[in-house]
Amino acid sequence: MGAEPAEDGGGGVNPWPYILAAYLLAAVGLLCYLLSVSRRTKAMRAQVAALKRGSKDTMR
Amino acid sequence: MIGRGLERALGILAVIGLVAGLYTGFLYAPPDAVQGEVQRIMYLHVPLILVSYLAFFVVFVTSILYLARRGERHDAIAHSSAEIGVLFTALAIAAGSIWGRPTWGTWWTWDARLTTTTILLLIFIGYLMLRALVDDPSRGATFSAVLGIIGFLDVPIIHMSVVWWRTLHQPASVLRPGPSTVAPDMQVALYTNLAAFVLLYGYFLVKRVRLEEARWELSRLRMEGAA
Amino acid sequence: MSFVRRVVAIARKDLLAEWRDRESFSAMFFFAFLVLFLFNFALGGDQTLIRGASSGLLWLAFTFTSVLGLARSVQGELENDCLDGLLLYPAPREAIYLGKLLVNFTVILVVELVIFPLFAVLYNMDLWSRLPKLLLIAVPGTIGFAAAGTLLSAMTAGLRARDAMLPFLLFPLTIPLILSAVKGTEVVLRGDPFELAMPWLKLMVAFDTVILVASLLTFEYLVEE
Repeated sequence: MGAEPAEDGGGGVNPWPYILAAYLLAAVGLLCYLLSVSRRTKAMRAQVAALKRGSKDTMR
Repeated sequence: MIGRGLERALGILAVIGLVAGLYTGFLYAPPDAVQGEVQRIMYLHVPLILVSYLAFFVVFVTSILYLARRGERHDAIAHSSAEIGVLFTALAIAAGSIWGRPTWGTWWTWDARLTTTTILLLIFIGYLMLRALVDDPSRGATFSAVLGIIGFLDVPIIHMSVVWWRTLHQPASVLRPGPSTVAPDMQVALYTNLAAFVLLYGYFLVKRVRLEEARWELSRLRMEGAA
Repeated sequence: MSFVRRVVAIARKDLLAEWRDRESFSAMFFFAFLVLFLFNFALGGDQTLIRGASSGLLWLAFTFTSVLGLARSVQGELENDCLDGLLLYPAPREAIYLGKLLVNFTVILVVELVIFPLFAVLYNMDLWSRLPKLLLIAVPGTIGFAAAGTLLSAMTAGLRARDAMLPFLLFPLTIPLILSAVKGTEVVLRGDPFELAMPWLKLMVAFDTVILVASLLTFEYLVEE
């Protein structure tokens, strides 16, 4: 199956919903992962900061 | 500790890469002679697959390093890379499936590459599940390292066996998720997207490893507090 | 004590434990029979279809029953804290692995030797005359499956979801083995010349080599404290 520039788009099916679906799915998946990591990191850092503050209080 | 600077730099580069990738994929590269526009999904599917192979290779190498040197950093990178690898593989398979439907009329095909990739996905989902189930962190790291090494070593054997299995059922014209010869401007789009996804992987990896580092700091502080 | 004798000693201990645990051992056989029996209903009572799919069905029966056996054998050890005692024994870790492998291999092989005649009777197939060649395929397949299974049961023994995790990790890894075993068995059952089975046999041997070497190298990390 060679790939060269086409004169005709090929087939009667509209390709764009599929293309959109694929790219959108990927974008959503990647973004969700990114947000998940960011959220978990933020939560972790908040706990670290809280612990540091707490120990500062007890050291006084 | 890995710096914010690296994370930010990779993030910016990844965004630039992805934008360039979208441009070359949709505006620069022409539609395929046979498949038409739908073939553009290749610029998403192929980079995702190739980068996931890279991710699992990284798991393999860092797993060996972990068993040899017991470095926490190696374990963190292995775990992070496995997570990202599973994500990218799953998305690649989904994109490929969406590509396959209008192209070959089917959501799924048992061709050798897709079958092998799915098995790879199953192996590393198992890896992540093992991680989640082992309570003791150093034990979890060791077990996962062994699984990561064996899983990765198995892949060539899996691929060989599935290819032999398939060629007995089908002649050489096996369904291939992509053109066998690629026109030069399509190559440009392909390589641009590939570079973009490698950068994206790097960005995700750095971000995810920093999460692990934050977790270590937390447990260190907790232990000091208890002392 | 030489290495080989240590391996045999460990194997003997485990085999003795298996023998004492006869009830759950026979549960395995009962399960095998049930699986074979169910095939009839799964395939709509079509005997021709079943005979046609026999190689695949046989290996499904072997692998599912084996997973039961693998999980069971490590569970017994865990419940009695035997693993710690075993580690005090002055043997290289590889000997422990090989000893267990020997036992698991034997158990699975015995299961296969029971399933073959059972299948032959239930579905009216002549497996007896083909038995030597069937074993030629079955043995490398069993070695690989037992090798991977022994390694993975060491990993999954202490887990909460142990019963699900062992098969979930084992099956994807051993697909090349199962695939080759089924194809090889198919060649034998069809009565085709054995050379047709050779590529599959070679693949199984390649898999066995890789898994054995990798397991021997990594087993010590799994059992150390």
